[in-house]
Amino acid sequence: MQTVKSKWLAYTVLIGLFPIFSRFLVWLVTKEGSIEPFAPQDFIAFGLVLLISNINEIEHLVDADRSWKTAQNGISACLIAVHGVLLCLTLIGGDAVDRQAIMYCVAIIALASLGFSYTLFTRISNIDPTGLENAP
Amino acid sequence: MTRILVASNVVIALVALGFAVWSLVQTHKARRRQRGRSDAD
Repeated sequence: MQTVKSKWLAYTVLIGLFPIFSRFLVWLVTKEGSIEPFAPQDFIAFGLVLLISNINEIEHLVDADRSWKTAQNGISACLIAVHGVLLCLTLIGGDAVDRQAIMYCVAIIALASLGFSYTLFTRISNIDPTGLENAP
Repeated sequence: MTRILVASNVVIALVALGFAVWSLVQTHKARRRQRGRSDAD
């Protein structure tokens, strides 16, 4: 079951980080000031990829504690809602919102999503296929 | 307002990470229980 975590790292985390890497690469090869090296939307995409994969993985999990699954689903849904609010804030143009503050917020939430997703996949990779873990 | 936004985000992130740590501790306990059970067998 350790492959679950490797797959999460290879498919989910790396693919989620792809927009951040690609923007950074584009920034490296363009003239100074043409684009920003980091954008909040990329971090939001990263967080959303992680959280949606959490929900998908929990849905397909049979041998796990039901209350734990419900809590994981609930927290993932709440974090998706927070990401949605932050995405709305990034869409507001002009000086209505502080871009730097939004950047801090999305970085914090994306890191929290990464930690949350890591612990979820650690638990999934440790679940005994015989279902002994669920014994009271 | 900016401070409120950042502070509320920090609180949400801390709650999520707190739950993540709790989940990790539960995983560790379950693994120890399993190991103890397999040792007893």
